[in-house]
Amino acid sequence: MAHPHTAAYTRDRGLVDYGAEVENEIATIHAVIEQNADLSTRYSPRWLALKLLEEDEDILEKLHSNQNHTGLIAQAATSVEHLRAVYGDDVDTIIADRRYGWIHGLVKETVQHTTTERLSLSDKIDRIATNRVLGIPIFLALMWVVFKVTTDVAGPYLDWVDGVIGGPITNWVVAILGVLGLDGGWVESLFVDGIIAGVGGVLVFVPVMMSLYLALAILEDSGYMARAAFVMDRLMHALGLHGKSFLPMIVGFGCTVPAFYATRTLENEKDRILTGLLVPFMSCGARLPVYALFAAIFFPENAGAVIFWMYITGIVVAIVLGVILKNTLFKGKEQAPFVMELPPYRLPTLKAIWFHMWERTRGFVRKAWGLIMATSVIIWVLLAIPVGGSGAFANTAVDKSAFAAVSQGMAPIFKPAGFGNWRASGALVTGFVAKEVVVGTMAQVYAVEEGEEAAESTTFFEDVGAILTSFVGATVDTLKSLPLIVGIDLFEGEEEEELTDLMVAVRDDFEATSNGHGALASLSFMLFVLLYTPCMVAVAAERQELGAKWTWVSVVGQLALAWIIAAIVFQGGMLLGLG
Amino acid sequence: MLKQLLREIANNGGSSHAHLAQRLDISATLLEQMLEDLARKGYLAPVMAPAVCTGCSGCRLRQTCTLNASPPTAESQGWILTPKGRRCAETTLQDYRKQA
Repeated sequence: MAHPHTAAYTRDRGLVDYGAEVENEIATIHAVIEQNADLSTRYSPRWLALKLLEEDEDILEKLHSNQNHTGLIAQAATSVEHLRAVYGDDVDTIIADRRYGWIHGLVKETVQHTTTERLSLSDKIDRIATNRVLGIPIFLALMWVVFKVTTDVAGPYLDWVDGVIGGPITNWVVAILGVLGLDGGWVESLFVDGIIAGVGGVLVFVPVMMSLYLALAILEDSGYMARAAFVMDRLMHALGLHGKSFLPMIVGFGCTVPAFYATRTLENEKDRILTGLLVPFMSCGARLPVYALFAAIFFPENAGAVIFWMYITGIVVAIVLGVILKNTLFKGKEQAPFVMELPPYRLPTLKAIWFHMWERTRGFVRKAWGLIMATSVIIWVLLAIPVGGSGAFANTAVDKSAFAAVSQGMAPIFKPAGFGNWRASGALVTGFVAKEVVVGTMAQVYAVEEGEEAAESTTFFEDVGAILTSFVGATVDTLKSLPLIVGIDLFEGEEEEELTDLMVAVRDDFEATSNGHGALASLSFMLFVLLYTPCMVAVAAERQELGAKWTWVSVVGQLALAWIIAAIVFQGGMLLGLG
Repeated sequence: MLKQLLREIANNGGSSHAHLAQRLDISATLLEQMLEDLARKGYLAPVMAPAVCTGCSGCRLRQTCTLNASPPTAESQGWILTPKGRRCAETTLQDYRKQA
């Protein structure tokens, strides 16, 4: 394109050089502006030319209001078109690009740093924590520590809560019922075998949940969790998954319900559905009591490691499935990279950590008193109804109950996975209400079956004394277990902790139904709990976010996947002579 | 510089502000300005962290929260390349390769 005014135009020194093409167009527009005395006196011609090339809305509006400027507007439009054709991009971006380049050059030439710029502590830590090679191993190592703390530190308190619920609290409830004349009948059974066994079976894990929430609160408040999300995002992006998918998945570690709602941040429907299908594989907090129970029974020496690997397995399954789906059903464009502002590391305050931990623990306890109590009562009723045998309501053998009848029908399905007993099958069904209920149901089923032990006669003050004494004992045991986090056992010679009645009952049942491969069957059971359908509240959220069709795909798909993986682990382990 | 920044984002996958500023040899403030400019022009889109923090108003933890000094906003959470940004980055990358 010929530019008649180019030769006459010279750029003042000190002005930004926008490059030959842009400068030529500036010169052309500049010349047209100078022909209009009114404009050239009101505005700097070069500035006005740039604004026209940038298609500044305010300026264009002002010029459009005057018929005399039609020629100038037309020239500006021609110049913009020309530059777009040359650069293949928006002219305002080309201009901004040059400006930033000029600023950068100016700063480099003029600013002298009197002292060597030092990296902040956050920058120094990030060089290692978010390093492309070290980032993921560091994330895994920290998660390992979190689960070691969760199991080793909380273990003694778990036994303490179990003792308090099974001893003094049960005694007090029975005593109160005795005063009211309701002892010895179905009311006592409802309270002791239904509510206390069911809700208590879940509440026993409050110390485990508190430990987990404490560790996560420290990681969040220190600023590390943002780095973890960043490191995970980089991994997911490398695998072709959406950069934003990590956000709902991180939320899924706490609870699957908000994780489904978090998929709304993905604009593309395919990405949103794909992420929604992967979210339930992130192990939510409610599954932790199941892992804690089975890891303590079958892998007491490596409980923390087992729980850690459960969480990692969830992530790996989600990523593998994501890659498969992304290359088949959800095939689409390549995913966009992601830039993230990482907050500086901070020293967490005790108050903030306590509040974060308490808010989450309170949610867990509230759930136990609401949904879990209601489910425990329903299960107790089903256990109390006699089916096909002798006995009366609340006075029937547990394996002759309505609950057992329904569960026995499903037990053969799980035989290839090693836990084809009706108690485990029944617990998995009730787990659909809430994952904590799996443990609560087991506590009810096994406690009922064992029969009631004769309670020792103690006074109220003796019970309080025992609670306080055992709390001190649990604290001492916890302190002793602290070195275990880093693998040092200072009290190796000391007696191993005894399993509770529930643990012994579960162990014996799993050993019996798996032909002596209880550990393998428990691993397969934990994997099934990790991978199968999330709780009903989560499914409702899933339906709301993904629609009925994809919810069915997810529910059926997860059940099938959970069964296949559980069966492969059990059968494969048997073939390899494990467990 | 803007195109160089887009190229860096597209070429290196997930990145943090600090890493980008270091790679481009610019200050963090200039980088933030450039990211906001690119977002205004439609090359980047902001990403929010969902259900994690909805701001300080009404939050029970506001007295103790360590994020108090700089509460997260939609703009401060992160940025993702838009299709327009990706196209531009690819063109720039091709030009850069030709030059190289």
